[in-house]
Amino acid sequence: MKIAGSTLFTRIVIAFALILLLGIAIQFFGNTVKNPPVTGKIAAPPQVSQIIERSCYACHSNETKLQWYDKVAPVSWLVNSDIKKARKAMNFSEWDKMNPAEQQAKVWYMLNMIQAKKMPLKTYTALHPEAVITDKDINVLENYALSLSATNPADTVRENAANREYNNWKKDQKTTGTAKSPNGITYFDDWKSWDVINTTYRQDGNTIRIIYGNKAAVAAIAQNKINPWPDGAILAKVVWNEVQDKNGYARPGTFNNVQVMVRDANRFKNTEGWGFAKFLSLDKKPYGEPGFDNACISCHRNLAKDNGYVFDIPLKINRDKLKWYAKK
Amino acid sequence: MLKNNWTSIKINIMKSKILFLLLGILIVSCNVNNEKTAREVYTANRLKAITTAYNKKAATMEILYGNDVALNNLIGRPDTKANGAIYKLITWKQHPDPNWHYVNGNEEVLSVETVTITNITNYNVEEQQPHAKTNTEVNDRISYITGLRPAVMP
Repeated sequence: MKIAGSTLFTRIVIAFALILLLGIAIQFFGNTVKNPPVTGKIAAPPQVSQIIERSCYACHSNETKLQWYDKVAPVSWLVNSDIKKARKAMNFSEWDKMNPAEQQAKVWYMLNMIQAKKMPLKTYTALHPEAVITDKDINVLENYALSLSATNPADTVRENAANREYNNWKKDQKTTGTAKSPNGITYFDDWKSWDVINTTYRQDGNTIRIIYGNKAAVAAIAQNKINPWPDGAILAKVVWNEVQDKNGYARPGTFNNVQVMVRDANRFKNTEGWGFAKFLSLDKKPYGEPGFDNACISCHRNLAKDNGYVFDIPLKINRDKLKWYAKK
Repeated sequence: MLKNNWTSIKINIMKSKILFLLLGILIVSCNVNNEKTAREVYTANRLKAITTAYNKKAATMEILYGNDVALNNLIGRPDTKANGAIYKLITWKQHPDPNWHYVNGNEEVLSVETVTITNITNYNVEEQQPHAKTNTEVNDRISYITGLRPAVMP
């Protein structure tokens, strides 16, 4: 019995020792979180920076402050992968790597993620209640975002530019450019004969837009078969910078870009089956470096999943209000 | 005892049948509810979108459609041989986009105004909330619709 007991004791000790050794050994595997240098942090007013630093910096910056247990494997592996993902989506320490338009778009994206209660993550705020973003904080962030996109639409410079472009265009209404987007989508103007599915006015950035859909897209909307959208559906969004007239109407000024979404579940499987492309100004310069569409889908995935990853479709109304004019 | 057990099992089965039936009714009624709503897309039948405008005060969006004759008229290079300009101005009620704050999108059509110009000019309006228009109002609408500047199309 005694011998057997000591054997059991030895076994337990050996087991513990093995677990301990394994625990130590795994510390040499996988990466723990490292803080790369801060290349240029977001330059926001103090009241804005304060909120971002308090609620977002733990994951979305190169100034991650970790607890001791966050640095111990296997927890460190999870934390590391989360932070890597977070930095890729938005990194306030490498803000200088984007141009002002991209920075502005990121701020609006952040604001929408917060308002949709998708950020900060609930699992994070459960452990870090100080990171919760209040309605007051949202107001501060909202005012900041609005200040960034505060171009005065009634501005005469804007109006003069619009007049010049229009006078030039109306001569023959021809424009050039048939370039290819990095993901292989070539510019097309078939949308000119498609139905308009929506028109939107966007306060952030002061743009007015017409969104067209091909037959497959229009049918999918009518039948509400948008989860997923059928292969072959194509959407095209034509965007103008706003000019405001004296009666308070926002009207199309200078042409800004055409954006397309092409549905092909196989070809674009990395971006939820949608091929994104954007062609800038009247010479339709393709937007983005290879991989640019990751940024497109990350936003569409987070905020428009219910609509099959599409933002700009008309809103649902009661059927008795449908096509009332055609029934008369 | 055994018999009692069987009875209680039977009752349980009956209960679950009722439950499933209720669940079934719930699912069906949900589906029916869903079908009560849909999304409106305006079919312009060969007319092309020429321009659009957002009325900030009223939160409405206008889209002007027209045929080639109308477009050429609006650009200020009327085709003297062609006759029969068709203009259609659709006014939509707008609503904030539930997925992206600060964007408004179309909800429902409020009015459809049609101007046709052959030898005579004709104005026709269909409104969700109809109201009679004076001659002056009609003339104002005609000059507004036939005076809009086309958007620069790529």
